[in-house]
Amino acid sequence: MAVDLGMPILIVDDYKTMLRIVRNLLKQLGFNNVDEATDGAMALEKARSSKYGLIISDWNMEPMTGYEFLKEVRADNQLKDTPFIMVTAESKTDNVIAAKKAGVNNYIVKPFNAATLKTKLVAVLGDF
Amino acid sequence: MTDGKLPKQIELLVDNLRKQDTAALSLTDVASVTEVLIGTMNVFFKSIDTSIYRECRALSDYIDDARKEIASLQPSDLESARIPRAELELDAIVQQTEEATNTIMEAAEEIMGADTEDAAAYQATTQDAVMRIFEACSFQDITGQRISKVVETLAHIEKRVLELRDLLGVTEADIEEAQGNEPQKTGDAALLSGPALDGEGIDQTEVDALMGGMGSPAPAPEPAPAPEPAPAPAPEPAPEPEPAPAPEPAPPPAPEPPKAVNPKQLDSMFEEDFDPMADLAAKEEEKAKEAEAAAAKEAEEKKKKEKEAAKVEEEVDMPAGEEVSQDDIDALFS
Repeated sequence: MAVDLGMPILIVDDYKTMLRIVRNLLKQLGFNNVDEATDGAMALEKARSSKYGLIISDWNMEPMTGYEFLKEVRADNQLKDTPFIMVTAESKTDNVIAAKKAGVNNYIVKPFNAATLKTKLVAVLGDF
Repeated sequence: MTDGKLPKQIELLVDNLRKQDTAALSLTDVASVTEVLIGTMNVFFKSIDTSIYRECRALSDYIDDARKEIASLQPSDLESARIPRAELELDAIVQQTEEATNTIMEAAEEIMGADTEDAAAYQATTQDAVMRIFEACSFQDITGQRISKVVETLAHIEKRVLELRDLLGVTEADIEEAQGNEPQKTGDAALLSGPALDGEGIDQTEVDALMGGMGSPAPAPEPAPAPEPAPAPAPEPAPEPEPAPAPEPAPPPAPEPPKAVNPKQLDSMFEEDFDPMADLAAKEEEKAKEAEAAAAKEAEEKKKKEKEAAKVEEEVDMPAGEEVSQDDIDALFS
């Protein structure tokens, strides 16, 4: 099944620069319908009010971290099937395993490049 | 023999001797008084020894307690873990900003040097270069997190130093005295304080106003006297001693006035009970409370994370605490 490039994507990061970078990289890859949130709580609110085809979230944020946000998403019947990619500088084994156990679909370590992002998107969504 | 009994016995013996005829004083009487006196002296010397011993013991206990308290401050933790880690983080910041700068500059140069004749090739080159610029800009996020760690280390050191100060009983007077002994900075050194933070220093408008106000050798001519619609066809220079040519037709806009003080703040400063020191102290106290609450929250979160990490470690056979590469992560998700 082909990937819908127009599907809404939610990107979550407390660094505005990072949001801008991810948004532009997604744009370069063909995804134009991108929404933003600056922490887990805001993202959860947005995710509950709109339907997203993909969530790309940072881990280290205040007040709600990306990890907590992920757990909330997976615990919510309406959101539990939403593909979720963690993009973070947290590169310890414990973090990766914890995220995987919490139900993350893929995990990207910062800094990353467009090629890595595309590979992970393909792994999660399918070829596009 | 106790202290109370001895004086009584001596007193009894002396009274007894007084009652008797001195000439009839026997050798036994003298011997018994002497014996009592020797006993008294023994008790006296013993009491001296005990008090010295007690003092030494108290001193020893104090040193032992101080040693334990200093050990509990964990200076080795600073030396072996936190400070080296902060150094590594700072080195990484320098390296990453340098790499990012180089990448951005290389990409920009590539765009500048691209051949515009072939539109398609030019677009491809530009897009590729722009993508690399975006990727390189992610250093800001990473360095921000590294700087946060360094700041955390500094806060930790500050806390330990303050605890040490309290333990050693260093007073404000001692600090003032030590500060007084420090050599005063002079010349440029006294002026250099590094880049200002938000809210510190003055902005460019204020600098311009200051430079203008001081009659600095401003390269620009004085603005033409706008208020008076002079009938003269050409904008004549002001009656300055030197007739400057001043070819610029448009004078620069007038400098903005310095920022006004908030009227409410100004009013409060003139209230009778205005006490700036008390105000400052209250603010300091508030800050300390906030810092305390933040530290408690941080400790709680740390505990929570440690618990979670321990749980994961139990369930998965991977070395905990080690950083993993993107390839290792990919293997987990494959």
